[in-house]
Amino acid sequence: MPGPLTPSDWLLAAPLLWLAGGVVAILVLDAFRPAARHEAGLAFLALLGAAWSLWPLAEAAGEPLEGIPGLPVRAFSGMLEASPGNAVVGLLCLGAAALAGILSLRSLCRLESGRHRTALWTLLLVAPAGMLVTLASSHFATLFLGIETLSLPLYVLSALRRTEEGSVEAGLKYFLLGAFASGFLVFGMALLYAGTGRMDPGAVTAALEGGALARAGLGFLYAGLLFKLAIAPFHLWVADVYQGAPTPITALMAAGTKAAAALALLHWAPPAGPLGSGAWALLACATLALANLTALNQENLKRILALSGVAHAGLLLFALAALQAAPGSGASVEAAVNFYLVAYGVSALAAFGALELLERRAGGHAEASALRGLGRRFPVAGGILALAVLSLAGIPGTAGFLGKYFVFAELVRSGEVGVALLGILLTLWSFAYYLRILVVLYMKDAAPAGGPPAVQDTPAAVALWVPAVLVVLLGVWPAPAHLL
Amino acid sequence: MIPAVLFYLFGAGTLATAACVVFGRRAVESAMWLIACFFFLSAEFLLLGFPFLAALQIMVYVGAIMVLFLFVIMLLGVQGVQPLRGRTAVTAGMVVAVMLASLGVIAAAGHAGLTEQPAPPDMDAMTRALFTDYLLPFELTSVLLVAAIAGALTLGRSPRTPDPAAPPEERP
Repeated sequence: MPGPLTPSDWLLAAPLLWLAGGVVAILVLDAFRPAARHEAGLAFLALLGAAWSLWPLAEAAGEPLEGIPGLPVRAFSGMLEASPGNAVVGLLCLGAAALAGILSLRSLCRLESGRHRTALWTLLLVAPAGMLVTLASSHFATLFLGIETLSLPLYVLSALRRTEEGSVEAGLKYFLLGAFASGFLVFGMALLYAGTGRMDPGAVTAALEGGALARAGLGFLYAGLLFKLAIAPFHLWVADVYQGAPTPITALMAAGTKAAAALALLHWAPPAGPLGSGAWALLACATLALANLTALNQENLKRILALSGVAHAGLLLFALAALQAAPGSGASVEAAVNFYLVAYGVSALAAFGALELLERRAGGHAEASALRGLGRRFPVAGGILALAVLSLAGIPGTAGFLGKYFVFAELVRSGEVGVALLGILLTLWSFAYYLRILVVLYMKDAAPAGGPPAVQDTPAAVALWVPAVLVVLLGVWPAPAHLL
Repeated sequence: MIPAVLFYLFGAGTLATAACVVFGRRAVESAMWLIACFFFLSAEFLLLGFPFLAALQIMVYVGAIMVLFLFVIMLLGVQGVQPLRGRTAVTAGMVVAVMLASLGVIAAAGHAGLTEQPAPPDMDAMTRALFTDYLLPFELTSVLLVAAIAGALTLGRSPRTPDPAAPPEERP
């Protein structure tokens, strides 16, 4: 009979307990003192606590933790499995939730009534909890519950501006398509379990050797995961949802959901099998090409950034292709993916955060015409957006460049030089629309100031410096990359 | 012999009542047929040697979920149900076709594609598993449900009731 929880169980449960504790505290206090404005403070406390309890694991590269045998840490009878690199990505998810919260302080928090505020902060704590579970999942139960726990809050948060048609549409679209994807995911899991009798990542290996039943299950499982990661042909929802959702929430979705889903996919990726690296490379190229093609004629900056996110997710699949081509490269591919996710995450946070501030100055619009020349009128927010865009494009000296470099280096090392060259060409193609954002920000004549003047938002302006500094720091001093 | 006859009898009953749910004219009628369907399904589980699953089927689906359905139907007063037509019918048909096709795959694979039938679980083993190996998913479900309730409460309220105490939002 199994005993009580082990130290590894506590280590991986601690961040979740902080977040869940924060949710309970907010809801209980809200029941007794509905007028008090305690939500934001409690939520930040819970996020800080979660980050603090995750820190020992993030720091423990190479050396085992006290009382815990070996890395990666396995907990809850193999339900969760996390390496230090995963923990760093987990910290990114927590940071994304915190930044979304800070950006909401002066905007979303002032919508409607107190109960609305309670829900905002509650869901901002539940979403990162789901992300942490998803990125460390090594069992069907935790994979599914993690994905649901991260998606459900985002469905609601996307629709939070309920008087705006776009926001409601985003929430509904995301919910319906997400529910459909979840159906695929569960169906795939059921078939895999029926075909292999396993619910751990070993089921994938067993399925590749097994019959048609298990293979069909594998197809459904990947369809569900690729939907969450927004890979072509499952990427059509991204532009609408990212555009319609309130921008702080878009930032959380871009950085957090993508990171969690990507790590889950890496966890559940098949070892070298009959599919081979060709399938992943094909999906990656198709996603990059489609995203680039669509982004070129978009008029809304949020849509362009959303499609840039699709392209970045596609690029990640090159890492899976490298893993398939050279099965022994697991550790270094994982390190490359972790760094890539952190690099993309901080760039996306900086980009969407700065866009939110500029949007407020432009009367709530992210259309290129409304944002013309704002980079010169608001040098700090404009500068941070420009820096983030350079990083997303992959200009040397930024985090985004090194992220792309590490992934392509893995691809070359695995012997897929042709695929790597094709990928680099597709990436160069994407410069066209990144440049367009810069042109809109700096080259065009300024748009007439629209809407009422925005109130100074000091917390958001200060918080934005964190991802912006990280973009540069990780770009010129990737030493923390070895920590991953 | 008799169990086999009963199995197909209850199976036919499940299918027939399920069809009645889909083609029912009124929401309440469909809900009632669904309850009947669950009872037939539960009898099937019993015949296959899973008494616990059979009991759960009745307690959870009939006792809790269907009662909730009926509450919603009666409180919201769903008058007439739109019959399936046009693109909706085609989409629904396609989803059913995919599901049936995968069942066909299972059948075509025969028992070779399936792992061995697990031993019927007993209550003791099940509860033990729930609170040891599956402790984390079990607890995570409650977090998910809290989030669902918070979300439903927020989105369910009518949108144009601003809090007089709250300062206006900054953006139009």
